[in-house]
Amino acid sequence: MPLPSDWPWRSLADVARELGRGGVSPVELTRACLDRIERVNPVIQAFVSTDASRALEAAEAAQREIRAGRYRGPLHGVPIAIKDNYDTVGVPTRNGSRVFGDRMPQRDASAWVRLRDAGAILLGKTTMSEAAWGVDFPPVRNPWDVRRNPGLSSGGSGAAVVAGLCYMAMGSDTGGSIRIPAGLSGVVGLKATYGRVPRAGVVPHSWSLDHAGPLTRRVEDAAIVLDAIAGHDTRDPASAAVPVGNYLGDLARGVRGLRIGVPREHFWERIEDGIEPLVRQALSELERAGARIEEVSIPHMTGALGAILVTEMASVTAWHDRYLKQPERRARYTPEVRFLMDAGKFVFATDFLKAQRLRRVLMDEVRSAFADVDVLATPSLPLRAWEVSESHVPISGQTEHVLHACWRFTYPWNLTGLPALSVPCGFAGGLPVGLQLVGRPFDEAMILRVGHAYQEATRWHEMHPPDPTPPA
Amino acid sequence: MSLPPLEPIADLAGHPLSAADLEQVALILDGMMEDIQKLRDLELPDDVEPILAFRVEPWV
Repeated sequence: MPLPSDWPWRSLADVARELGRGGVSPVELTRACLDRIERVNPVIQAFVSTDASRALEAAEAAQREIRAGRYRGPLHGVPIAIKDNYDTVGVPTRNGSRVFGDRMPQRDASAWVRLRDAGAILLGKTTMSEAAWGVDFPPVRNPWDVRRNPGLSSGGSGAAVVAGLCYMAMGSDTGGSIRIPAGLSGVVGLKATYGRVPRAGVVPHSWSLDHAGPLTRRVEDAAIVLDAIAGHDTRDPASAAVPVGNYLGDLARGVRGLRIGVPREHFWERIEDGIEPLVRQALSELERAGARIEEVSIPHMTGALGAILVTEMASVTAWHDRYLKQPERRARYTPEVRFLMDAGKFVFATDFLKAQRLRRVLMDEVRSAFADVDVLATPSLPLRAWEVSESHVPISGQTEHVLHACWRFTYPWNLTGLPALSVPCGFAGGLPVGLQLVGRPFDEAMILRVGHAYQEATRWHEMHPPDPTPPA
Repeated sequence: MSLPPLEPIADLAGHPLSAADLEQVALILDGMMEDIQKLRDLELPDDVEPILAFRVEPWV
């Protein structure tokens, strides 16, 4: 019997409850997701590969275990997707690039191992921009408007979740690539503290900026995933041996008495019409729920874009250098990405070190900003989803490159490594807008708690796009 | 901002590029130089050391 029509739009948490009580089986769910992918994916291209037989085999095993009373927890039997830069044994990991078209990993990414051990079912890999770099997309489309982009390198993960193709998709975030697609696609995106979620087995982009994390429909779903993937990993040199929280258990504590800081600088400058009112409205909603809103200051934030530019450019080029030197491999990069990597050769060591000095100053300033508040709140992005053919967009009378514009509000939390969450907070001109919540180091529980309280008070996360049809 | 010829720098970096490639690279760098210049222009206190092995520690 087919599943009820609302199944694609249920949250992971809802689905987990049904799986746990036997109201639905992993095989039914997995088949439903695979059928939907077959129907919808040709339009939005959220998945770069699927493996139906492997997924169904895993779903049957989960079904047997659950029926035998060996229920592992809320991810057991849940169909998920993983970005194409996470190593998965037996499934190609191409990092979105023809350069790695023949790459078959020998070892699974640590985050995927933890998800699999929790019982999650891998449907396939989500589409990403080449080597998580540049804006020259494979043709991933935003389900809210298929003429538009779903976000940066984890765009396939955002599109897959909002289109109801899976109940969670993993992404990676170097300057915002979990929170940007979350904001542009109208889903939740969580980048935990640097070192909280293992990056081992995720193809490196910029060592000191890379984070792994989930895109989900609800904050509650992100908490479930973080409960499974957080924690020290000896395979990841940046992994932190800091005790993990009880992310799901802490969610319902509400925001009464919490102090939310709103940075005075940077996050309200050059922003598209319609975004700021929605974010201010979200803050008012949190105030009504009992939080107190206070202004804070992070003076050096404005000049920090140069710091991430030189850090990221130099790091990407350093990692790809061995491939750039091989003529046959070099030729397989798309020209736009190759030029970006070549440009990384022109970053001077003095600028790189200045950037790392600025990171220390920013860390100190952010810590001061947190002296009297529990979380910071900002818009996730200064713009809404742009058309796939656009490389530049006008914002507040200035023309700006979309890559430059879209990460302006997200990259500070990569430079500082603080946990950050994007939560849908409304629609401007029919396109999703995100609220970004930032926490103290390793205090993911706090941003999840605030995000959950916001979702309990609003209904934006229940909205979903119609089934996408090809652009005219 | 106009960039100096990039060819000698590319050679110095051990990464020689064709004139056509250098032209594309110059366009990219040109779009970033304003932000990089802002970074260069920042006055930071003498005692600020770069973070060379980036780690996040709990605040105590």
